[in-house]
Amino acid sequence: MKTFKFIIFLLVLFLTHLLFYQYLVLGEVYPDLFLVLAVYSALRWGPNGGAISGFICGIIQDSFSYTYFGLHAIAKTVIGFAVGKVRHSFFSNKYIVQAAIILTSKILHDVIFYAIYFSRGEESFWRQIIFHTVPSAFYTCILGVAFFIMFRFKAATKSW
Amino acid sequence: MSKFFLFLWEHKQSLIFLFLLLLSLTVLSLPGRQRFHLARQINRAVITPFQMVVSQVDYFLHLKKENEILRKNNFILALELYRLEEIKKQNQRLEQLLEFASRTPVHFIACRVVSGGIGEKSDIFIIDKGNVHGLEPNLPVLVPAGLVGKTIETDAGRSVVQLFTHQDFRVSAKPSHKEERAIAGSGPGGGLYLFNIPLRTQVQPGDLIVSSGMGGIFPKGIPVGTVAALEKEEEIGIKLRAKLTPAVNLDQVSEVFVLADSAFVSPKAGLLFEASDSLVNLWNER
Repeated sequence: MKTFKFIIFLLVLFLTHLLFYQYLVLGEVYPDLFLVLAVYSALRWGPNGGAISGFICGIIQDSFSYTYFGLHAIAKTVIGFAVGKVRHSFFSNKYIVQAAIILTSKILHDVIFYAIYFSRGEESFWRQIIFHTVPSAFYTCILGVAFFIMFRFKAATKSW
Repeated sequence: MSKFFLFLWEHKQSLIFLFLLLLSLTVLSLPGRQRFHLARQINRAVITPFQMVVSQVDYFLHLKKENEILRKNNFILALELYRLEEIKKQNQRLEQLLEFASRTPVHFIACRVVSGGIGEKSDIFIIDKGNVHGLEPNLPVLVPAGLVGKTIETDAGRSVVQLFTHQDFRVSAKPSHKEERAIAGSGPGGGLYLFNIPLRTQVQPGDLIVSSGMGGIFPKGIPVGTVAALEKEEEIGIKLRAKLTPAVNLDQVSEVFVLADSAFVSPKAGLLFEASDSLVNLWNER
């Protein structure tokens, strides 16, 4: 996979999330293309790429939440780094594997995010995870893989 | 020395990760005002320029349809206005007879929401009017259905609206048709609550909660939400709190009205964060 094409792919993910987020939201199901961006960066460039792109996307997302400014950044940095660390453990060129990685990443991301977010409150953490995170994770992984397929990247091991 | 650099180089992955993690934790623990300014700077530099462009495109795409609706509404309202003009004249005559003092008219500024966040749990709106349009901090922001929030920062052409879901947001509120004041604001999990209700209360599920007019920012009578359930405040035990169903669904808000320059509003009543912070501190101390 050509680096330039890959960067364009990341840029499309970034701009789609930044500009068309409100059109992508389905009721209370929220997509997270910034997380998809961090995951694909980690798969391509390893822990450093994943952590740095996760941090940048997270801090931009946080600029709308003044109360918990930095929380998305923490969650996405951790996920980016973790995915980068374990990227050689699976054959991540298969779409189904990518979908599974994004799904797991989104669930883990939300577990970190809401564990801190609800730490001062009494709202049900598990309710949030089951009823909001799981549907959002499925939606995010469908969107993420769909974007990846749209760019028609070659499925070759060397390309990562 | 070279061993030290060699060590850094060998562990650069972990060091970069730790550095980013520490940086995130640092910004998360910044004091309110610094956190606000840093977030605002990032928002202003990275997001707002892009979203202004999309907002303009969206605006022009919907202009024709909106124009047709407005023409139709204009015709209906013109008829209504004619009827109301007659009533107004009659009202003025009666007020003169009763020697009522004349009131300043309410002045609304219509604004479009340029940006409403790009993630879950965002608690601000960016709107397309600012200082030059007469906006300033601490002005009530409404839609016909009820309260949206208040302005907290204004640039020349844009303003930041603190939504009722923001942790620092507080408004003095009461049930409609009852005189039992309490404080409404964001509670556990970002939900809307009415706090500080005595155990022997007249508040009941289904009651409409409106702003009480106390506090100097929000005029009386703006719908805040409806009481969904009453529950005990576990920390105290002698007070209740009511979970509210917000009057306004923020996901569907694309245009808002800022109540400016009226007899009801005193924008200087609370400096940015000062009033809200003190309330939050009181809350945490209990």
